[in-house]
Amino acid sequence: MRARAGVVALCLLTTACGVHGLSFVQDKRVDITAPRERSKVQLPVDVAWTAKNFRGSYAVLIDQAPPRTGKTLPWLFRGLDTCRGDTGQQLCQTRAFLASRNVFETTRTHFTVAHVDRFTGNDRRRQFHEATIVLLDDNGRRIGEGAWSVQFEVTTHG
Amino acid sequence: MAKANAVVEEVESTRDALRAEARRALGVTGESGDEPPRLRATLARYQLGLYPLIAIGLLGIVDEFQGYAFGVLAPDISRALGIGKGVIAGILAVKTFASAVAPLPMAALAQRRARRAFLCISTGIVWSVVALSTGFAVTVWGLVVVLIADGLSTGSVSALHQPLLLDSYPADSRVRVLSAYEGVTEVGRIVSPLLVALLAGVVALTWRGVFVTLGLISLLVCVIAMRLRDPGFGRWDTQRIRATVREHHGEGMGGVALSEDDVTLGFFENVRRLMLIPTVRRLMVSFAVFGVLLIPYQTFLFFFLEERWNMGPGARGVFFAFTAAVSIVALALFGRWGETRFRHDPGSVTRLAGLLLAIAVVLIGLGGLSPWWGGMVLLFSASSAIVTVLSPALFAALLAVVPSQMRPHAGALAGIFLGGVGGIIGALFLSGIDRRFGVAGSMVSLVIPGVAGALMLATTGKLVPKDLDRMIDEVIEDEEIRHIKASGEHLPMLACRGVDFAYGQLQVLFDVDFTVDDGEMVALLGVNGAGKSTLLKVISGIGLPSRGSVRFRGADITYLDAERRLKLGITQIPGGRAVFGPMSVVENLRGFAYTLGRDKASVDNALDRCFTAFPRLAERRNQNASTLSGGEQQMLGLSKGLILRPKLLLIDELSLGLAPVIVAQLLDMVREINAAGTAVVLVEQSVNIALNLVEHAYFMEKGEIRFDGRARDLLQRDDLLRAVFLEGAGARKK
Repeated sequence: MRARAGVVALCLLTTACGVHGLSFVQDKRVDITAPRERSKVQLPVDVAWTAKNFRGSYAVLIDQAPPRTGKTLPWLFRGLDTCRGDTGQQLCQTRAFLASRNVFETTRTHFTVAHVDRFTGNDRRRQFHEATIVLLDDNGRRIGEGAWSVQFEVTTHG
Repeated sequence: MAKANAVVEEVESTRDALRAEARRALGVTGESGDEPPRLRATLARYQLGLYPLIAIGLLGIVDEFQGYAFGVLAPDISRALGIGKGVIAGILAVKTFASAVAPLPMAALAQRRARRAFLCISTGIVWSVVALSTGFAVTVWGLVVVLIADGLSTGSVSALHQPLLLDSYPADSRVRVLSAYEGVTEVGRIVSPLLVALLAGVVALTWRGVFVTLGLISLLVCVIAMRLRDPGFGRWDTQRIRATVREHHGEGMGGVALSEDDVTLGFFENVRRLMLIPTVRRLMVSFAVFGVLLIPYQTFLFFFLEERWNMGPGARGVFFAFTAAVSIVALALFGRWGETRFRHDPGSVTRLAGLLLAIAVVLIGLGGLSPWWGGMVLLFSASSAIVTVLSPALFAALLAVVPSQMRPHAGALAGIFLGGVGGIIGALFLSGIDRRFGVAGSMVSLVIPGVAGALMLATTGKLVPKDLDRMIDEVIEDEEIRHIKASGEHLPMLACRGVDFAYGQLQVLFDVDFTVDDGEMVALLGVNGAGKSTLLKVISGIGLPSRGSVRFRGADITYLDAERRLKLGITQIPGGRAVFGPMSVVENLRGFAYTLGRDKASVDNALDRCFTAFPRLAERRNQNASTLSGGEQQMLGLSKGLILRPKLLLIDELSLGLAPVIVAQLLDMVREINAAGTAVVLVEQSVNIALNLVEHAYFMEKGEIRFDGRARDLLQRDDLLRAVFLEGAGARKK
């Protein structure tokens, strides 16, 4: 019985883990230059970065986890009712829809954040927001596990 | 009867003579200002090294690796795997639950054999592999699996580490050893952030690299801890008390087994028995308050530092490293001081803990309101140091009053109250306050549960010495009975000593001594509400005493489940109509025969015996029991004795409300059962019936035994019997 439980646990562990395409050392290709980490800002705020050895597009996500490696930005919203069916899928691939969800794609190395969703539930909670940048390939799929982020505190919301 | 009582008196006199000596063996000298020698010197005296402390301490450090790293690196994990913060929080909640329930199975694994060292190493290897595997997780499912596995393995610590330490070192060093262990785990709270910062910041590893490295370091620690061995349960306390008793009798170690039957308590019996110890009950409430200060408070402190003082992750890391360093100094100071107080009066340690807890929450409240950064840091550091020393203080008191083989269970319960109750209820409490008054308000609000916990601890102080003595008495009694058995002396079949029993706050039995010899028929008399039926419940296991012991053929069955006592040969026929009304006569009889198992022939034989003894039942075999007359129902109830053929039969109010002719018939059957070798305890209100049947009688009044002697001597005691007759007359009048 114990041996069986051990085998089951081992199977669960091995199926849930992988070895291919995993990064164990930090990817230093991107370096965010503005704003400063945990600085106070007013909207709109410019997020700027430098990139080494990369020519492609970037995804900029505000207060949103990026997609998994190999997935496109619309993958993030696959669970939404509005994104179901052919029409829904087409709608959710549009830049306008992604922007409405604070997800952007750009080929430049800076981006202006014009709006962030105010955190609700506790008025006293400070409004720390996070911008995350990931690399995308020509098909709009995320490259690698590298993700770069900066936190900033919005003092006035746009 | 006289022989049995002589044995009991011998046990009691030895117990009284050896109690003080046993207390000294446990490191409780009772002398104020009696400072212990330095820990090194104490260990040298017993030729012990620091290896167990270091090995368990190191395991305690790496136990926190995965949890700490996951907390710090959660945003990176979220970004790498594309998982939202809500999902991460949900997985962490599942891990907290796994961690809260984990100590229980660990205690169950450790209860029969002293293999805590093996379990410490095994769980260490599991959480090391889990930490390593975290670095290879690629899906949410992967994270769920590794975090549950981590929760299950790291949560087991409370059931294993402190109990193992207590048995690895002499009793006169237990507060210092527990303080040292806490100090080592505090070192872990400094090392873990530094290590994560080093690996992620300087070596530039991703979260995966950090987990793999931490897993490998953790595995290395497990290799270092491989030489850890379990010294056995109670090596420095229970075994020493046993040795004291044996020395007293000029015997060597070893000896006979008390019972051929297995009367070792099972897991739930152990837990239930622990919760009957007053000190344990109160300490569990205190552990819950302590849990609020250890778990949700720390999370809210993170938010507080960020929001009130704009401290980023780095600054917060330095803050917590500083408070950990202050805590280590506090533990070093407390160890020796706490030991001195424990030696003088073990209760004073919990009183002190109560005072410290009150001071700690006041300091937290002041820290939350402090307008100066430096003041805030000092106040929180001081409170953190105080909260840290509560752990060895509470564990020293808890584990001292608990029988050694139940310490894993006590540790497990402490872990559950600390993490499960304190952690979860504390999080809800602080979240509610935070929403209404902000994070500083939640800091200040800790004063309320803190002061309540402090009061609880302060009042626990007077219970600790009593419960320590009770634990000592149990061991001495056990050893004394073993000695009597080894010397070939006669032991009574049943011996209840000093039994107290309460229904909630209402105590109904007071220091009851009750003995039944083999084959004896005993009457237990008294007016309504005297406690007769309650005493039967205590003997049969339906009720558990708050104090005292119940021994069957020498074996301690005080906390054994009722169904296990049935298998030992103790059967009770409850008062009133002891039948299942909606079931037929045959179904009732088959129900009584349940414990005979699937042997159809023996069940049928048993039923035939009943039908031969009571032909009226045979005539009504398919009739519902509720349709039988009162006398027939009692016949059916009494059939239980015929079917199970117990060694001890407890009969409650057999004659109540029955015609004399029926009573005579039933009593004949009781005589037959007794003549076949079954000892019988007959609870009766009718003095005439009882005293015509037995030679040995007890008389109970207001929960106390007022008479124990020959039945005919009781007949001379008008002062006692008048109460029965008057009540009977009163009842008739009504």
